[in-house]
Amino acid sequence: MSLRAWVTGSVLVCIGCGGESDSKPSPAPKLGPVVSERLADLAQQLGAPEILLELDAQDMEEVDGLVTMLASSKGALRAIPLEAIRADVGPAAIGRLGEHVADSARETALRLAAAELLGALDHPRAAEILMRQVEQASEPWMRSWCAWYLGDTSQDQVLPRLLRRLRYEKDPGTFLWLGRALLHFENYAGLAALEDLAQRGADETQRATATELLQAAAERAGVEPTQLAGLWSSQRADELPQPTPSLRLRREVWKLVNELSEEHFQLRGVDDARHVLSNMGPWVAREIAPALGDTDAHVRLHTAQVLERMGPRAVSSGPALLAALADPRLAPAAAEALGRVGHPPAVSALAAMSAPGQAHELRVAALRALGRTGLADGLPSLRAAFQPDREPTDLCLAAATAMVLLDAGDEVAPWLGQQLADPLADGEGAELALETWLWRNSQAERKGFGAALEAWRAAAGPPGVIPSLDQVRQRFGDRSQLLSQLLPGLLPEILQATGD
Amino acid sequence: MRMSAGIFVSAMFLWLLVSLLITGGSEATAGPQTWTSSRQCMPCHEEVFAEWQDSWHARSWTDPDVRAPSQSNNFQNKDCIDCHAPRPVFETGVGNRVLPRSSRRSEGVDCIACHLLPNGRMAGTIDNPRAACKPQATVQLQREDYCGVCHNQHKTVDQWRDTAWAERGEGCIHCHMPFRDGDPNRGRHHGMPGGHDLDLVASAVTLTAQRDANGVGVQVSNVAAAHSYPTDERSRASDLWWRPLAESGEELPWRHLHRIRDPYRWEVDVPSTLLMPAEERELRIDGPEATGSLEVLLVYKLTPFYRDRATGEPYTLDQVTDPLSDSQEVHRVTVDRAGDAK
Repeated sequence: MSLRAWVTGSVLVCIGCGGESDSKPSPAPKLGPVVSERLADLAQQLGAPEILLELDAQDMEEVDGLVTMLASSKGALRAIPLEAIRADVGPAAIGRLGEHVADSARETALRLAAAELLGALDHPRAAEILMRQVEQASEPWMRSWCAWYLGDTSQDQVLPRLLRRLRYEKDPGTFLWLGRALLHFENYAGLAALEDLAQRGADETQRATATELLQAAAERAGVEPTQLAGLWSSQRADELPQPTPSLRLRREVWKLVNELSEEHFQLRGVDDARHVLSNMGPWVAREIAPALGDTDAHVRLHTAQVLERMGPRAVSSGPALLAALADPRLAPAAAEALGRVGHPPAVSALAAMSAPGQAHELRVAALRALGRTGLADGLPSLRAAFQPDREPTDLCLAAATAMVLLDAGDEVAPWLGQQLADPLADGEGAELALETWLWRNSQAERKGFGAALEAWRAAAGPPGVIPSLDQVRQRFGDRSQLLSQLLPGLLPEILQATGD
Repeated sequence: MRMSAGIFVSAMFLWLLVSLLITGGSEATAGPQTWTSSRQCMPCHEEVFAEWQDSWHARSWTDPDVRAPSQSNNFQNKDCIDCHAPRPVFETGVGNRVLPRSSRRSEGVDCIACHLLPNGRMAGTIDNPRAACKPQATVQLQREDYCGVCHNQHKTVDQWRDTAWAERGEGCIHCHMPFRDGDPNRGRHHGMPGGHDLDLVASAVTLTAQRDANGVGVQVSNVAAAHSYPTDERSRASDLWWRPLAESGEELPWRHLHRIRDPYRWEVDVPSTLLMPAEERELRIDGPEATGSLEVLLVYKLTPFYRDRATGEPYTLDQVTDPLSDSQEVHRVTVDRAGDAK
């Protein structure tokens, strides 16, 4: 071996030994430019955008006439301009109709008629104009109607933008039609807004419309309206009617994955992309799982986050996430995602990742994930990790919180109570775990827990008030004291056994 | 000449080799095997640790304002984790967007997040491979792009780049990490004062007011912040209020004059009114009630919306009668009936 090679090797060994990574080397998965390849492939399949014909003066007059006719027609007569725009003018009318829609000086009826005609054309360019109105129109009625018309088209590529709009929309009426458009594209992310409007809408019409939309969606799915939300957020989301995504929609999805890359510095775009992707249907989990093998570490990590936020709906990504545990940079995020999607074969892998010798970051993530799986198979690993005398506090807290989720909270509750009293400990984390423990046992109607939970919550301070730091410390102290009074009644056997 | 250069390079190479061998031997047992908590730094860096522990970097995870339902909602809004519990900056790369971490989140922006290098050593101002944490002189630690991984999410560093401070080479640490007691030999303070330090906030802006023929002119100026005022857009706000001073001494309710703030992304109908570096903004108080003596108040808010501190009930700006019940006073000026501000 040459001296140069020896020195280089020594340097690499030193680098490899440092940092938080004290895990044993494992074969890293093969990485590649997944996102750029998918985008290029989809662009090739879609081909060049269609060039629209220019309207001559006579055609333009005809378009204007159809707009006026639709605005002034009622009943069956309305079908005439709607049919004529498709049959006689076609996509060439889109530019002119767009001018009508965007011109805020025009009569409302004319603008809405133009928007309806755009919807009737069912064309990507027309959908783009309508979507821009949904995103940017200052008048809520315009946003509402354009969402309505989009919800009658086959232009599913607007789905990600509808989801982003749902995040920022404030007008309840627009929520209604955004929810309808989403349901049209077999997306159920608007259910919460619709359910809220059905219960607490501004007027009877709004409440009745929301109820009707929910009923129609439930009928299509063959379930009761109250079952929709549960199905959508479960591993059985595939049982809801599934869309056949167009190439355009798939390209939009991959554009969002590309937004996660390192080259995009601002978190705002990343946040939107994470939000939109994680609110899409189970097919998206299958679509984007290969991005876990992208060369860009930011793409890999955020893709894992998206799958985590998608939760059980992303169960199909379980095997890909499991494989991602071999990628040292991705492993903690992959572990957290595995916990949330609930992939049963992951338990043994997560248990291995939580063992001493693995990187601290990964151990904590794996312990947390073991709790989230809800599978009792993870308990031995959690008990092994919960060693307050030997292991770092955050690791013990992750193990303790997970044990609470697996109904073994009795074993860790006294320690969690001590954490509340320690000014250097993670009081918020301990508090959350203890509240979960009390709540779960109270739900299970264990003796004394209902009253204990009530007393615990009474020590929380007035709801809606943001406390000061001193008030938070005071609350920790009060609750720690409260817990020490409650524990002998709640856990007499354990406290006797430990002699506490 | 070529020969002596060769000898020099060889000597340096040999020195490096010996250093590496020594490094691999003696201090492997001196430092922790794994960095899992900033508490591990405390035994050797007691003063720095205490400063950090009392800073808002240390509270980025525990700050009740951050955990409020309208903000991160106890970090159920996971988008907040990226900056409030970041992975080590040198791991994700200076200038790159930060990534969230899973471990020791309650320590917030901690020693490890800022100082841990990918090689396991700690970035610092000196090289000492024999010390427990093996500090390695790393000039990037002092650069604006370093702070920018989080703070330029609000364009703070970009704003600074266009100012005289940047031309003079006075970066983030000039104001936010001053030398202890002003003494370069004492090192830099790790308390990182910012929006929570009212003195620093007050030194950044001025408030003046004077009567003229039409009423009262009010000027608020960003005179000393090398970035917008406020800079932590969205969550921070600064408001101007005024009220007539009754001759009877009765305290009349405050009226809102102007809000300085960048809106949240969902507040599509709210304009950004940040006060840019060196900007002076002129506002008017006119009308019959402005003819008598009055006072003008500039307040700073760590959370953007007003609420009743006792009940948590939110107020619109029109409903606020006592802004100081939920904000901090920055400056106050009075204008008397006869003329000039006091």
